[in-house]
Amino acid sequence: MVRHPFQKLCCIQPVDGEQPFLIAASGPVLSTFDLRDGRLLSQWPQPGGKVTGGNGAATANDGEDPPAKRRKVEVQPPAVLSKQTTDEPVDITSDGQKTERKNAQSEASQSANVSHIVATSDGATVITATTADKTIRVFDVRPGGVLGLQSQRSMPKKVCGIVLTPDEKDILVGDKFGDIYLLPLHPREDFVPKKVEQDQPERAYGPAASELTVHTQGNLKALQQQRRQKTVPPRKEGPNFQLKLLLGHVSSLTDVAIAEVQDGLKRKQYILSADRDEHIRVSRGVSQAHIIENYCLGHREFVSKLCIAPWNPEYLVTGSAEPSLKVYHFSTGRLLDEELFDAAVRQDINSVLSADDGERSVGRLAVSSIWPIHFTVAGNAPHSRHPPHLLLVALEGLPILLSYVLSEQGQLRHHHTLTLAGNVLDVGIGPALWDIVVSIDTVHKPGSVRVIRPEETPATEAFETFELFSNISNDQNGSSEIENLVDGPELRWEKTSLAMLLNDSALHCEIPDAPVEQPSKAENTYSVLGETLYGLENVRKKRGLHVQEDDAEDLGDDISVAPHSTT
Amino acid sequence: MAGAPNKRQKREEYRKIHESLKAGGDASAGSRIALPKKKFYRQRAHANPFSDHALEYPASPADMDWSTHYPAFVESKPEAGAPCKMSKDVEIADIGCGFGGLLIALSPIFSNKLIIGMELRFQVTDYVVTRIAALRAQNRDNPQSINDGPGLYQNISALRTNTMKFLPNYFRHGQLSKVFLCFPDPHFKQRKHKARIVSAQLNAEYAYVIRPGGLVYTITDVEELHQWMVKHFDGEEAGDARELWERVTQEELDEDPCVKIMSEETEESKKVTRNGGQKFIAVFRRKENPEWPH
Repeated sequence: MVRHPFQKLCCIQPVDGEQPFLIAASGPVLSTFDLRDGRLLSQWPQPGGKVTGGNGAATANDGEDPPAKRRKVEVQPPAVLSKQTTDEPVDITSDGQKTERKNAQSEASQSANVSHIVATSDGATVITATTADKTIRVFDVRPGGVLGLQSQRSMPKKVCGIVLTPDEKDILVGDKFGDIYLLPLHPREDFVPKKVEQDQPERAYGPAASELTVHTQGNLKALQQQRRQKTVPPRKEGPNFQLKLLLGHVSSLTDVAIAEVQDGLKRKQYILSADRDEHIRVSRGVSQAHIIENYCLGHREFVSKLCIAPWNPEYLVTGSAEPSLKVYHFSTGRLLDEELFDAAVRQDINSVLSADDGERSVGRLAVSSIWPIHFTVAGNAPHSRHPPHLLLVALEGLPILLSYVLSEQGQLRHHHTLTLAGNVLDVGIGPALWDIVVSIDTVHKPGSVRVIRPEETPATEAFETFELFSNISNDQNGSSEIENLVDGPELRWEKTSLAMLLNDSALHCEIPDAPVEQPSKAENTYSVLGETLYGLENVRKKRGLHVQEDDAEDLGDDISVAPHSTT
Repeated sequence: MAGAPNKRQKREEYRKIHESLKAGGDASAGSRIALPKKKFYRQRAHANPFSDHALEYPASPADMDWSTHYPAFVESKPEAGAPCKMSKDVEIADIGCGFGGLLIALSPIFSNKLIIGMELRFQVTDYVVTRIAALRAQNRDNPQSINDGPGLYQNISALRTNTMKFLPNYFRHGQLSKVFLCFPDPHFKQRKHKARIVSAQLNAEYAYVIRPGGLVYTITDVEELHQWMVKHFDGEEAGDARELWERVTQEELDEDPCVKIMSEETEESKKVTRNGGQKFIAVFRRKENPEWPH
C-alpha cells in the first residue's frame, strides 16, 4: 500500500521552554516530531485506538473519539441525499458536473482529512479542521509534544478558512456556503442551544404562499397539497454550540484573514474574506463585521489565498488562479504590485510541469499557498536586526517553491526558486525557528496531480528542510544593509539535514494508507488522492461551457410565466 | 420539447428585425419604431442566483463602461485602458428590474439622475434594453426632450447581472442613493432562504453601496417575505447590521412619489392589482456608520 503523504504542517514553539515541534497531518492522523532531532513524539489518535490520557478534558462531545467520524458520510452519501427532503440549504458551489464531482469526492474522502492546522501564539493550543466531517477540533499541547483533545464541533458546512482573532479568545471560521462564523476558542460549557420552536408561541403551520401569489395550475395544486398536509415539517436543529454569523458572501469562500492596523491612536481590526467570484471583502473587525470598508478587486479568477504580511499588516498579498499574486494596501484597495508569473519564473514553472498532465499549463494553475517568512537570517549573519521580508509561494501540484522579497513599498521581487523532489503540499514555519519544513507529495509524479509515480518512492522523501543563508556581515549600519540584502544575490535557501532525521522517524510511524487509485478517466483533473490533496481546480469556473445551460433556461418558458412558486 | 424550434425560430426572426431597428435607430425612423413585444422575450420566472451563468461583469467599478448605457451622458472619449468618463454616476438601482416598468416610470421624475435596472434573466434584460432603445427613438422629437437636455429615457438602462454576487463590481462605496427591491422571488423553502435578495449577509453589501441617507425600497405581495425583509433590515435577524438602517415612517412614504410608482407601475404590481392581491411596502434609510470601536 502507498502511504498517505503529510498534507498539512504546523510548527509549534511552546513559550514555556518546551522543545519546538512539528505537527504533520497525514489524512486524519496528526503526528508530532521533535524539531531538533526529528524524533516522533506522539500521534493523535494514538495508534491502536488507545485513548490518550484525556483525564476529563472532554466536553459535550464526549472526548477523544478517533477522528473516524465518517458516519455522516457513510450513512448519507451525497448521491442518496435527496434534496427535497432535507432542510439543508442549497449548495452554492459551481453547478454543472456537480453530481459527478460529488461522487468522486464521496469515494475519495472516506476519512476526515485534516485541512487546516492553526496554533495560538503561545504554542499551547492547536486547532484543526477536517474535511469530510466538517469538524473543528481544539487540542491543548502537553509536555513532550502530546496533543490532548479539548473539544470538537461539527460545522454546518465545509470549512474553507480558520483564523484566530487577535486576542486569541475566539476563532473565525469561513465556510463553503460563503458565511463566516465567530466561535469561542473553547466552547462554553454553560451554552444552551437555542430552541427555535419553543421560543415562539405555537403557530399553526401553513404555507407562506396564497392563491394570490401563485399563478400557475401546477403551483396551485402544490399549494392545495401543502394546505392538506397536517404535520409540521421538522425544523432543523441549530448546532449545539455557540456560533455567531458575522458576515457572508453569496459565493463559496476560499480564505479568511484578520489584520490589525495601527491608525493614529486606534488599533483597527479588519476581517478579510476572499471568494470564488474574485472578490476580496474588507470588513471591520469582529464587533462591527457588518460594516464593509472596502473591496480589493482586480483578480480575474478565483482568489485562492490571502496573506497578511506580519511585518506590515497594511499589506495584503493575494494568490489566485490566473495565476497571479497581487499586493494591496487593503484599507484603500490600492493595488501596489502584481506578479503574473512570466519571464524567468514562467520558465521555472514550465520546466517542472509534468508532460503527463496534458491539460495543465501555466494558465491553468492556481496559487495554493503563501507563507510569510521573517525570521532572522542564518548562516553568516545570524543576528541581523533587520530580517528580510520574504514570501514563499506554492502553485498547486508543482515541485517548486517561489521565494519573493516583499519591499517596504509593497513591491514583489522574485529572488530564488527552490526545487523539490515532489509536489509541495505544505510548509511549516515556526515563529523563531531557523528551518522551514516542506512536506512533499510522495505519491504523484512531480508536476502532476493525476499521474502516480511508477514505483513507490521511499517515504524518506516525505519532508525536505531548508534554511535561509546570506553572506552579509553583522548588521551594523541599519537600513542601508537591507538595501544591499534586497538587491544582492546573497540571500538563498539551502537544504539542511533536519529532513533526514524527520524522514527517518516518518518512515517508522504508523500513518494511514492513501486511498486506492482507480485508473483515472481522461477528463478527471485529479487522481483519487489528488482530489483530497489538491482540488483547487474544482473551484475554477467553467467558462464558455455555460451557453448550453443558459439556453435551456431561456427556453423553459413554455408554461406561462409564474412570478413565484410554492413547491 | 415539441414546438420549441418553431418558437425559437419566430423569436429569432423577431429579434433580428429589432436589432436592425436598433442599429438604424439613428436615422429618421424615429417615432415609427415599435416597442418590443413581451411574448418574444418570455423566460422562466426564476434563475438560480448561485449558479455561474455566462455573466460578464467588470472586475471593479473603475472598469465599468457605462457609455453604451447612457450615451447622452458621456463626457469624454475613452483614454488608454480606461472606459469613457461620464458626466454623472449611476445613483439609482432597480435590482431585479424584470420587464422595466419601474425604470420607465422613474425616468421622467429623476431626469438628471442615472438609473440602472439589473436583472439576472437574459431574455428579460434583452427586452428591457430593446424597450428603452425604442422609447428613446420614439421620443427623440418630443419637445420635452429638446428643451430638457439629454432627452427622455436617456437616463435609464438595464444590464444582465447577478447583484447578489457582483454588486460591488459595479458600484463604489456609497455611490447609490436609492435601491429598489420590487416583488423579489420569495424562495419559500427554508433551505433556499439564502437565495432571498434580503438577508443579514447581503444587508451589509447594500449598506456598502448605499450612501448615508439613501433608501432601500421593498415591496412584495407575500406577507411572510415582507416580514422577513423587515426583520432582516430592522429586526432581530439583522444582527448588528441593524444599527445601519432605520425604517422610514408611513408619513414619509405617503409623500414619496417613488412609493406610489413602485406600487402601481411595475409589471408585478399591476398583476397583483389585477388579481386582487395585497402589497406590502417597507422602506429603510441608511444611517451613518458608527465610530470604530476603541
